[in-house]
Amino acid sequence: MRAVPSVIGILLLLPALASHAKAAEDSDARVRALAGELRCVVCQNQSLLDSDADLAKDMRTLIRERVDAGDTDEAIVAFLVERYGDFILLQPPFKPATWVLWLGPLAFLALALALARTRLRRARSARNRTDDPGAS
Amino acid sequence: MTVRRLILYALPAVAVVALAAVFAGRLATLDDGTDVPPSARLDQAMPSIQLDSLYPGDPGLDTEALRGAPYVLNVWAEWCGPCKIEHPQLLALSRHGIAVYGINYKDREERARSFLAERGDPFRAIGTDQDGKTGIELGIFGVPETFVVDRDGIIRHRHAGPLSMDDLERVFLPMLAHLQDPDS
Repeated sequence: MRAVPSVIGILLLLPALASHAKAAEDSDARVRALAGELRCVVCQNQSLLDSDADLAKDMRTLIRERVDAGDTDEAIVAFLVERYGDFILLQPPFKPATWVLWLGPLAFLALALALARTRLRRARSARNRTDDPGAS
Repeated sequence: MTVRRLILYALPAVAVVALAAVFAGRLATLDDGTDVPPSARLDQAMPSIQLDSLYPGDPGLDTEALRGAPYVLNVWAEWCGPCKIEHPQLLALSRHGIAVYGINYKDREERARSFLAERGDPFRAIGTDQDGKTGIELGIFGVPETFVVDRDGIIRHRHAGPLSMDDLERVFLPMLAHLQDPDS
């Protein structure tokens, strides 16, 4: 019977424990998501999440500490960009220096489509002219 | 007609070559012979760093206290091979009267101390970065890395990898001479 109060105590604690576990799970997911979009700066094209390099481990530890301290994702990314530059971002940001990179392919595609259109139109009108018995 | 068509067909090829030239030029300016990109900390203020000394009881490293005169900050470790190669160059810098400070990065401290006892200690003060946080603060990619900081605390140069005598004579000594006496 002496166990009853402690059982009640545990039952009372359960919601708190559950929400604690949920919070830990959420911050785990945030650390993984952040590490997945950041480059391991000493590896060839691996993310911080995938890398076993010591520096990558240290950076994951740092990200975890900042998540636990309540920093936003943006603040954590900005912190690392300040120290390692855009190089640490696996996805290059969209800014004047990278406009050619992002918009170049689209510009080439638009150019190709425009050229193809004028050529097709010209070919069609040429064919129409030869098809027309009265034209020649 | 044929000339116009020729120009039309040559245009994509010309565009590709032009783009390649732009990218190659940009890459060439970024390439300093090492495989790491330029430091994001270049031309920025040296972060405020306070570290305990490698020698218990000695004053540690405090970058705030170093303002007012140019200095060299070297990040190294006993376990790092290239650090052994560059060590004579650090000793030479210090013999030239340059203020050389050190950060011992993620090292076993007693080994680091015997390394310096054996080969000579070029550092006016040396802090220990046990967990590598200061390394990340400085944006280092590995060890060794060496920073040149001016009297206002601005990072003017970052060298990744071991310093050679050539680096010393061609880059470090002229730059430090200029930083010490901007009118010279």
